[in-house]
Amino acid sequence: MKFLGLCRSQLSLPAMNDSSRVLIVLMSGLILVGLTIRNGQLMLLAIPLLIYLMVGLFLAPTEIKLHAHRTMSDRSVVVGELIEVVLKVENRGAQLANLYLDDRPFPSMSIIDGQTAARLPLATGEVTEMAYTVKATRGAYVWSTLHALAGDPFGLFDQAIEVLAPGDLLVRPRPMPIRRGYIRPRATKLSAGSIPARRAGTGSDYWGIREYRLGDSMRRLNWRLAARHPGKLFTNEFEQAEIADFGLILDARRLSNERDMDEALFEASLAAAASMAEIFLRRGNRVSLLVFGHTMNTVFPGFGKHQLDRVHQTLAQAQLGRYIPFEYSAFFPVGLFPTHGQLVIYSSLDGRDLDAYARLRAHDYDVLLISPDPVDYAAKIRSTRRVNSLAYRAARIERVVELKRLLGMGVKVVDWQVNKPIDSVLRAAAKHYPPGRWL
Amino acid sequence: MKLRSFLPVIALTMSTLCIAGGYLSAGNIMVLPGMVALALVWVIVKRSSGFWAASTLFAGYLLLAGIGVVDGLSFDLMLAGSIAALAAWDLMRFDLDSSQTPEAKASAKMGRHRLQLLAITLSVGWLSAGLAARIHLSLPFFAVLFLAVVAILGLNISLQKLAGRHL
Repeated sequence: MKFLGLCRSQLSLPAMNDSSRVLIVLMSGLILVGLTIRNGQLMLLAIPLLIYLMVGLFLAPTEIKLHAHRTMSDRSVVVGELIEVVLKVENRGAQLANLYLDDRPFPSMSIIDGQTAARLPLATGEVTEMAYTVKATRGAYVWSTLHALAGDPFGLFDQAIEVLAPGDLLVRPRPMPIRRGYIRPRATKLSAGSIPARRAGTGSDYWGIREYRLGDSMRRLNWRLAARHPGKLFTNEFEQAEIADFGLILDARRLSNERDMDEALFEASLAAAASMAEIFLRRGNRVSLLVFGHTMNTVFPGFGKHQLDRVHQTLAQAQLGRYIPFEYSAFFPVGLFPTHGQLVIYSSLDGRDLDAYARLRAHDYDVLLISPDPVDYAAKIRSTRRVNSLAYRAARIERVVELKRLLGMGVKVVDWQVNKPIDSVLRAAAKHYPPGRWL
Repeated sequence: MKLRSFLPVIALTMSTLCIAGGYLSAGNIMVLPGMVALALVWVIVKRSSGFWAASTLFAGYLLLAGIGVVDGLSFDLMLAGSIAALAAWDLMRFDLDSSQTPEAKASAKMGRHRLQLLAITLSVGWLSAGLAARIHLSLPFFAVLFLAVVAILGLNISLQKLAGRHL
């Protein structure tokens, strides 16, 4: 992708830097001491310094006109992928004998190859190229300018300018492989899609047989059964496949004092949400998103590729925030989650959240909780001392009780130990519960 | 190794030889511990900042040259020593900046240009100071006052021109 930087020039007096200050202090010292002790020869020692300083001042750039292009190998990448950034800088002003360019990468970026800063001379009309390869953590990155410092050949006076070089980069979470959409919402919409609607229609899965009615396609006739019942005709029926509304809620609250554990579980939830949103949208469903935390970010219901971009953008920028009660999730904007839609909540679960789930069920939402297991995660990263194992048992019991209470409310629960792939966890859940009732 | 990387060392050696030669020719050996102390300070400061180490060394050499002039040692040697120290300081700073130059070609171009300019500037400085040391004028007070006013006005006008060029 290409970004065109606008030309910007700056006209101002060059500023002194440490070098010129050192020189002026030494020069002034020689002159002052020479005057004080009335020694002319001592003052003469300052002449070469003065000439050196004056040459620097006269050769300092007067007008800087730089034009920059930023090119990136891709605007949207997955965490871990390499991004090549190329900056082309053209000098449209007077010759610059000593130009320092610094692109200042973001702190969460690591430079893999190349340099983000360069010092070089740039003649009028000359173009220079600076390329580097970076790897970045999840997030949305926006560049606006390139920092430039133009100085005299001796490096005594500088002029700093910011050259416009816009660019943006979206680093998405790494998708988790999910082979198929395991979730079968109770309510579907009356448009052809991929989710079995539990009624006869024009799908591909066999549904049943009924007596022939006028207008039925001859291709759907069951000839074998008609041969057994002379004088009658039968039609094969297939299960209608429709689209559904999926509302994703990503819990972005810190639920414990363990910062690393919260981050790890949040990243796992986020990656699962991104992958499932992609599966839902690729199958033609309508998806909305709420990142629930100290700051709430929403993506209103939509279809298709652009909606997927919006979801990825929002998820890429999601950050963990401090704790707020989950009850506030009931105040989501009108129209964010259509009624009778399928809500998929990604949350480690907190005991104080149960009432909010009950409220969602009371509003007739079909709620599925995908809950990364904090107890299992903590047990794996901590030492297995006796006191710890007792604490884990107690925490495990508390979690099971809470999950059972949710099941009692009619909330579908997937207890996810994050070291296991989400696909196998969902597949196991789909096998465990009868189709059409659960997943 | 390129010749350019040796230039600061050559300039520093020249400066040391000139200043130490000036002192030693007058039988003053106190310059030697002074130079050793300067080298020690340079080693210590270099650990934290290359620029400040070079500046400390430059200031030290200038101080030794100044003391030598006040002591009545050879002015020419002290002037040559201070000019060589200035060259060494400039080249050391250039070496520090060169580490930010990605291309060898760009670095060589910058180096060539800077060396030429430095050679011209320091030659002019040396000539000016050398000539000024040799010309002894005794002018009346009003002539000196007139020259001072002209110098101040000239400086003012040139600075205004410079500012006009920039603004």
